[in-house]
Amino acid sequence: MKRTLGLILVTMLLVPMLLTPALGEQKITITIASFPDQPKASLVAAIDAAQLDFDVEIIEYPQNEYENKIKMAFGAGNATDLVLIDGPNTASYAATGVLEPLDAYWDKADFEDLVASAQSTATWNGQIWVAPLNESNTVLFYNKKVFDELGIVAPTKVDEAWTFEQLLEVCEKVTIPGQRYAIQPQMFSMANKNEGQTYTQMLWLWMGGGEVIAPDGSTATGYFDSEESKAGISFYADLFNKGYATTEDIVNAFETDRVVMWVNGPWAIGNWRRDFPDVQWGATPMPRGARSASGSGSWNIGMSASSKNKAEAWKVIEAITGKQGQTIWCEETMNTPARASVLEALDMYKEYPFDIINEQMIKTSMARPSTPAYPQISEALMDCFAEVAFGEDVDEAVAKATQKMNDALAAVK
Amino acid sequence: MPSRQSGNRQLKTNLVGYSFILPAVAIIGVFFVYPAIQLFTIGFTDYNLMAGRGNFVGFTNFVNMMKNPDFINSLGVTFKLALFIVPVQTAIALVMAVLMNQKLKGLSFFRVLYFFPAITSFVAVAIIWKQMYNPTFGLMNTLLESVGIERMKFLSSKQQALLSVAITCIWKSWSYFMVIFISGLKDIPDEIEEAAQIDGANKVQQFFHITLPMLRRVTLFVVMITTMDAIKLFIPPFTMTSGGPLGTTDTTVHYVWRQAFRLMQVGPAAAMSSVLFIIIVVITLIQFKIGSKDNQ
Repeated sequence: MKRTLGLILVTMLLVPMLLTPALGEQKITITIASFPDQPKASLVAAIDAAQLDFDVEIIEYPQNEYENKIKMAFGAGNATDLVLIDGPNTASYAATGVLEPLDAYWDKADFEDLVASAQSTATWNGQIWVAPLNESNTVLFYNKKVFDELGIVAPTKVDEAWTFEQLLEVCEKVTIPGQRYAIQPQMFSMANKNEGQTYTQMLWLWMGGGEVIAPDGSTATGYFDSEESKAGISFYADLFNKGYATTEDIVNAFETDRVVMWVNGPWAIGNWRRDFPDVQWGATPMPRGARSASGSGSWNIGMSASSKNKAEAWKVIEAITGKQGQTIWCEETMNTPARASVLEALDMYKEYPFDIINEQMIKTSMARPSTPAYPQISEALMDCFAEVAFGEDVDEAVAKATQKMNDALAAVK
Repeated sequence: MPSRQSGNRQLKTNLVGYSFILPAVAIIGVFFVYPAIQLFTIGFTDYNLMAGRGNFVGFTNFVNMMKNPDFINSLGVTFKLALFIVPVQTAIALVMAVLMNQKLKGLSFFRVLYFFPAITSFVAVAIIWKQMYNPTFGLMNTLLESVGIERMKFLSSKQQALLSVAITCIWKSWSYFMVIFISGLKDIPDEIEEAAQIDGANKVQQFFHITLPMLRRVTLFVVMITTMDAIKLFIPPFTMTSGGPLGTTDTTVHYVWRQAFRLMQVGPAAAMSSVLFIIIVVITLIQFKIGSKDNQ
């Protein structure tokens, strides 16, 4: 009797213990690391539309700490299955071996649906590492109310974009010394230090006719410190020296009419519709110096090499970045599609201001350098532009930055 | 035999003693000694944060550090901060301690009120002060303009940013050391002060010839701790300025953090941390020696 009871008790204990791992194995949850600027609801909408038969969990980290968090997670070996990666950082992540190459998963014909700049961002060293959430571009937004009051008409075609000289004339007209600045020539105020600054500051160097580093990523000498690059950087510095731009940290400067023009991307439109519906804005192509230039490269989704559910993780990538998911994502967030088919299909991208963006993406968009040393390149560039904005000598600032870039490039050779 | 028995008893007593201190030693070993050893060893590698590994590179990190103008700048910023904060904060804490040590009704309310910054999170303090320093809508400029002083740029100015950060740090910490000085003042026997009064010494003379000398040990403690805190400052540059503008508030700890967690260069960052550790130890030993000599 006692023996029988004992056997029954042991069985009752053992069976759940043996069953539970089996039950647990069937429940898959794919985790994605994200941050608040990527609207969670829109990601969820894209995923839900795919009707996947497993769970997806989006884990949000604070904006300014996002990159640190995912790098530490990779280092500690507990990264999420999927991570959002800023385009120019793809090479630095791929080079450390933390990402799974996507070539085996991605159909070639589908990959070629991406616009050229997105294909370029997604690949490094001959392999595909990430799938783009969207593409990006930059325009010069302006305060429509101020322009109308002063009778300023901004061009809407890339070929008619203002020259540097014309831009200076507009700056002179709209500036009210001490009260209103003409332009914020980078994404955030100078008190901020993040990739958004590099993304927009690099434009001025390109518009001057310069390049950041050699195409093979070997050196910055002769590129960042070329006369053309310095011309672009000097023009940027002059905006501050002449009082058209400020180093002061003005919160919501454009929305509060403290700044009349702003170099930014189309996501600003979504932000205004949500948070500042009364802002009267217009958009004009980026001005041109020695050449025209506009931004490209945005956030992508990468798969952790350590993910235990790679097949399911790829399905989530497909759900978000495939034709259907990208349509949902871009319609909701006002971001520019990375897929040519989606760009073609959506009417809103043929209308102002997205027609300007489309034209710029084809004619003038430029990709940030693809190198494992990109974080150091970005920081050196940001520091250089900050120094000249504060009135430091352009040649000295450029020389210092060039040296830092060369040191970083040498370390990854 | 009596000697063997007393030997056994001594061993037993020692073992009991060791077992009491073992948990504390284990905690110190795991959370302080082991990480410190790791810090020094990683400093000799090119450890990458994301890759989670690194190769031995000898003294390369230490050599490069000495040639790195940004690291040298961060050391300069750190020591400028310390040279300002230590005397100013100590003086404020001491003067307020003397004032709060009077036998007056209602002073305990002010002691509690003044202690609030000390118990508030440094991050919260830094965020609030950042808003107060905002050139457009901050409280500081509102107050300055109300008394006819021109608006200032504070954290947006190369010349003003470091002082602005220093003032925030002093505001946060002075009251903690005021409490330490108060406890030191309470240890001074009343009879000595009464004797000085009888001898005709006024309050100022009493302060400089009685109070200050008798507070020497406490002052040494306060100066040592304040120096270490000032050299290790991280939260204000991280929260308020990102080390800017142009590196003028980029303390060494903030610079090291950036190398390790933004640029993933944990090896070089560990080397810099090791050097900073040695600097702090040397300064503390010097302060201790000077303080001990005066006591003798």
